[in-house]
Amino acid sequence: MKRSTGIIGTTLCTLALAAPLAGQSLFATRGLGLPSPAVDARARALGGIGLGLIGLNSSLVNPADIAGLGRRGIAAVLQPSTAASEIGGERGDLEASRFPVVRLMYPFSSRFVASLGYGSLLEQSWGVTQDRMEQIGADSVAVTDVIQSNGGIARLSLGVAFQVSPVLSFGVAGGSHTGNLDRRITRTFSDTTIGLLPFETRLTWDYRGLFATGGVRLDVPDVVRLSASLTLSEDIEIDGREEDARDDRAKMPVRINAGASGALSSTLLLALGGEYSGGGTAPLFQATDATAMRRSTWRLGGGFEYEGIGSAARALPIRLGASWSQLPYYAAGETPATEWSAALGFGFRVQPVQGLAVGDLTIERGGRSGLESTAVPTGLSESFWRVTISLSLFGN
Amino acid sequence: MKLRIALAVLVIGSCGREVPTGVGGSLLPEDAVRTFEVLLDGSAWLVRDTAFSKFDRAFGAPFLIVAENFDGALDAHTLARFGIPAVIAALDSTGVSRNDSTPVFIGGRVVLQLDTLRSSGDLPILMRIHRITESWDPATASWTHRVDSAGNRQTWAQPGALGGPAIDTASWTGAVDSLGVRVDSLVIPVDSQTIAAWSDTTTNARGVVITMVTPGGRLRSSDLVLRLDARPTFRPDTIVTVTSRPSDPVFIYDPVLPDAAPTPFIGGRPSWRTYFEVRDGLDTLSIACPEVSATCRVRLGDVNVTYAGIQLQPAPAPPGFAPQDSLRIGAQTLVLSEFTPIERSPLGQGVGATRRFLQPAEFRPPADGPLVEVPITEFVAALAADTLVDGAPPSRWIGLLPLVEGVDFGLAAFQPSPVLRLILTIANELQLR
Repeated sequence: MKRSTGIIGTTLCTLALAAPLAGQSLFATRGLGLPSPAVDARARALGGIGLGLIGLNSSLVNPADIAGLGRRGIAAVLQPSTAASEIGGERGDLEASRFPVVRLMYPFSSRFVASLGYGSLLEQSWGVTQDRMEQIGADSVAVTDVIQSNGGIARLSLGVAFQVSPVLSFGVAGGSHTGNLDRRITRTFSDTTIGLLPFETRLTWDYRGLFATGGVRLDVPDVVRLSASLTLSEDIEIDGREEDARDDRAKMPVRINAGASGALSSTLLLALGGEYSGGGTAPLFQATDATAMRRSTWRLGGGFEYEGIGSAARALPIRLGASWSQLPYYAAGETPATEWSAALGFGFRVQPVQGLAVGDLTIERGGRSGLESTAVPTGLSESFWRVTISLSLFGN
Repeated sequence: MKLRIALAVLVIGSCGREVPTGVGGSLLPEDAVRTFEVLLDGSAWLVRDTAFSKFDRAFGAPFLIVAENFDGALDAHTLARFGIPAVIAALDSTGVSRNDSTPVFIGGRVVLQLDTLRSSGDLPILMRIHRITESWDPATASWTHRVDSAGNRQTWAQPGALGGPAIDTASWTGAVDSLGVRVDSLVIPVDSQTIAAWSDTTTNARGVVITMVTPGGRLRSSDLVLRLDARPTFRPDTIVTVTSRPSDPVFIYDPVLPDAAPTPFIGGRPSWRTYFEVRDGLDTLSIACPEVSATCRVRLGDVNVTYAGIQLQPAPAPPGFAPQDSLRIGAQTLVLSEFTPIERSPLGQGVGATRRFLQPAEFRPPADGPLVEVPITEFVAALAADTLVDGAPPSRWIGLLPLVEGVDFGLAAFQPSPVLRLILTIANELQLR
């Protein structure tokens, strides 16, 4: 156990140092950012919905999904990604790395399992450089604006799962939306003949708001698992830390998730799932001069898992999956955006089902497109590679 | 074990950095950041502007002035006191250098080196030199006084130090010599009697005053010497020329400008500085910003001062005092104290300077040329931010003065109550929501 911990720690550090971190997606410029579901690598490979999966699932979607877990454990997910954005014929590269899930799981009895998790929800890290001419008095001056945004909204969640019977489990979780946004805007002037000083402003907001999730899981052990959850959230309070950062409030949608998996054979699993975020189409913020819009969205995904490789003590599953989703935020006058991805995943389990160490790796190739407007008729498109790595360790 | 993993995760999570991409600018609104220009009249930002002089004096100036009714107003004379060498060296008939302590001075010449680029007048210009027969003090002499120190004020018998006899005259024609070079020296003969009079070093009642006879000119000199012709006693068939430099040459002039003026004067010798007192609470000043929107008004303290400059409109200098040389103006804060008059307040840090040299022609009538702008961005930004500097509010006083003081006789004059040009930048974060 100690040996495996050391290896994992070293691996994490190495990965982190090797991964350049930057903005994740230019679609994060809209509204509260780009959705970033708190799911692990296995769930990513099986459609990305993150519930109803037979076997270990450390995703923070349905608190009932960890019912029956017999060991204390911790799970962490690392997700580096690269993307190429194209807008109006111009291309730019983006790189990012983040931690979608960190979760502690603790069974109090054979029926009750508690968990504490910190998971991503919306990602707002991006940076854009803009060169243009500004008319200042009678002169036209070349300026370079750099707008950098760093932050996002995460969920701190405390949950409990109760196994009523081997067939039926319930779970509830509650917690707080948390996070912040640090936005820095700088302007420099190419014309230095009259000594124009560069401009810089930095504004910071904190996010907060409560949420609650209820979930149910139905099992035909080792054959079929059905899972569903409902998440209700308060409006997100947006508190500016300085005078210039104006407070605001944003509506969070009701979120319904459902997923199922079934064993097609002793070595092949099929998983399907979907998520619906409601609320309709409306302005996102209360500030009347803000332009961000939100809409109801669907997210769908599924995949296969093959466990024919390995032994009884060591399973080496291979997964194939795909997902499609509607992105919730856009600016008034723009068309909304969508995202798709195809995934190939691998797993490594020292002991099947609830082993001492579980590792999963998923590689995704995907794309996003949308945000067409009068100003940008071609809209924005992105293609991305996303790697998700999950590591779970369990004691007795 | 779990703690170690958790710590590793936290360490990794703190390693983030951002690199903005060059695309995507069109996704963002153009007016998220706006830079615009505002022109504030003097009444909006100034409490007062005052010019002070006497930061130096004519004595010790690196130039000399001679003028006669220049611009219909200015007269100036150059005064000098030469020493006559007691010993000269010459070669005897055998070719050996010997000293002679009793030479016979048979005559000489006052040679005035002219700065032709910084002189004006209708050629030829007739010059005359007079002997000074009254005791005088180079450090305090003026047009009216030969001595003007504390408790000792003595007037010239005739203003302008003209009480002594005339020695001789000469004309400066501005002609070119045999090499095609314009002659820039004025040579005025001096007789042996005058040289004998100047040899008496026991009295201060000696010297020469150089005057201009032809009216309407003003000459600037960079050097003045006396060349003496002497016959050594051991070789009377030979004439030896020796050069004597004056001790403390000085110029005196009329009229003398007052010590202070209500309009901006900058430069000259004695040097002028102009001090501006900016209104209190500049950060609360409400400014219209029509370049942003028709209804836009911002508080100066809420925007970023990208640039600030005082726009000075050149005005005719006082008659006779127009600049002869180019001038670059710098701005420095003033460190005020309740115990020190403003004009004696020490200068603080420099905050800007004109980007170009101002030319003398800009200050001759009608002097309605382009505006002269002195950047004071740092000064205005400190007042707009209204933050303490070393525990004290930022100074509201700023002085404009030449970057190099006292190198020109003429001064630059400007219209009072100048405009303050502001270039401000503001970010509208709501445009990004």
